[in-house]
Amino acid sequence: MEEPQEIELLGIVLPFLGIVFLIALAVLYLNQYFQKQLTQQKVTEQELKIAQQKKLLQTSINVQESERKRIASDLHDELGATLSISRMHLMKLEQNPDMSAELKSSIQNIRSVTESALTSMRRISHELMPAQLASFGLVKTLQSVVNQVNEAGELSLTLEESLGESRMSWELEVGLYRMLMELVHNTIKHSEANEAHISLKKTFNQLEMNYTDDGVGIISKDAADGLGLKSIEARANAIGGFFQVLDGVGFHARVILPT
Amino acid sequence: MEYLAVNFIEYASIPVILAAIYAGFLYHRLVTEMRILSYFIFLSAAIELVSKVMWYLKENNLRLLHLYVLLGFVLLAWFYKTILKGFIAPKLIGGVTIGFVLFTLINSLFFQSLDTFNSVALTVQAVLMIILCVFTFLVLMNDIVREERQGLFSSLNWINSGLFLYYLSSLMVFYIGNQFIQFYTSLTNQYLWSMHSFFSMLMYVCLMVGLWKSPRRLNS
Repeated sequence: MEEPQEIELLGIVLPFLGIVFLIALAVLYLNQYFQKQLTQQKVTEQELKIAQQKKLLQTSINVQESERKRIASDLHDELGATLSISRMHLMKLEQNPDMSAELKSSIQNIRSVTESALTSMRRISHELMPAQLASFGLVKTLQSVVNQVNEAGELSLTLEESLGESRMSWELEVGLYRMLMELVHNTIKHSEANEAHISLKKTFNQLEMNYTDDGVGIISKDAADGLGLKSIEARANAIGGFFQVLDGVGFHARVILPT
Repeated sequence: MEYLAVNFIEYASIPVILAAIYAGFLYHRLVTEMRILSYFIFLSAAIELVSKVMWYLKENNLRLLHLYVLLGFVLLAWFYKTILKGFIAPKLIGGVTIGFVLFTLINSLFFQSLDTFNSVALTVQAVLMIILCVFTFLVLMNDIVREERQGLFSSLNWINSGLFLYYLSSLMVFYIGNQFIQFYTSLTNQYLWSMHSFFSMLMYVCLMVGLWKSPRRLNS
């Protein structure tokens, strides 16, 4: 008598367990899909965030550069012209034969101060935005920088490039110029190097810049933070490229940028 | 006890009607998701009223149950499709709904005729609803989703809980109740159905709370 009831009970419980199993399986499948979607959503959000940050950085760099350009041009054209005219008038005054020796000496002093102001103004204007970068391009400007550094005699700087007369976008030229200036400045100020070398190579879709010196290299992480390497990296990233410091004797940095 | 069991079944329609009145009152201020839920409540109330009338006229009202299972699932699937947008394969709920509609039609036309209790369709509906409810609970537990559905979170929790409790109890009643009917007295079965009515009342109360807690449209 017991057996048929047991079979009937099994017939009830087993399908029910099957239903519960089916529910669990379906929920698991849906959850898997949900987790996958969520991960994808997170990745997309992250990518979007990075792209936005990059754009923001690029915009901020562009604004900074255009402002530098404007200030450099205003300094050169307005203040420079005013100082030059003042100098010219002072020179004219100096030639007056009726002037007392004391007055002449004072005027000469004023002229000397004006000339000094004019030189400082030209240097600041050049540092803010070298006029030749816009007119003659990166290679000519770098050659001029190399000459100036070599003339100073502290460091022997060499430039090797395969760009020739070809020009790149303004963004790229200014970006590379600023990065190189930062690196040269670091070498002169911190590396105790005797020689430094800049190499610029262009392939069909990218530009590779290598900078080496035979100095002490990066001594510690803290020292690296103070070298402005982060700002170089940010500039390279903002243009869509990347910056890396390579191991080896002295200092070796590489920047790869899309052209 | 017997009195209580009978009363639960008799008064089960009150929360449905109240929920429909409340949904009607709020309708113009409800967000899209809640409007879809309102359609389900309106359908439930309409079916409840017509079935009551038919019951008083001593007519078989089981045909309405066939219609209610089909349309009710379509509306609830639409509701879940809207709230789970972006977290579930878009065609999945649509595909399941079409499959269920076809299955219900075939079941009603060829297996469990319109004048009989469609226990199979009800069981399948309960299983599908439990899957959707459990999955929704999992989705709502995620921090990102909570942030995205901030305004709707509390409301969805109430609604989902109500639907989950009801369909879980329904699965027990429709499946186990049907199987055990041969072993127990009609009073035991009445208790079983009164339990079902209790959970039905609980579901509509939860739906009402869900509507009450839901965000309102600003341009109402």
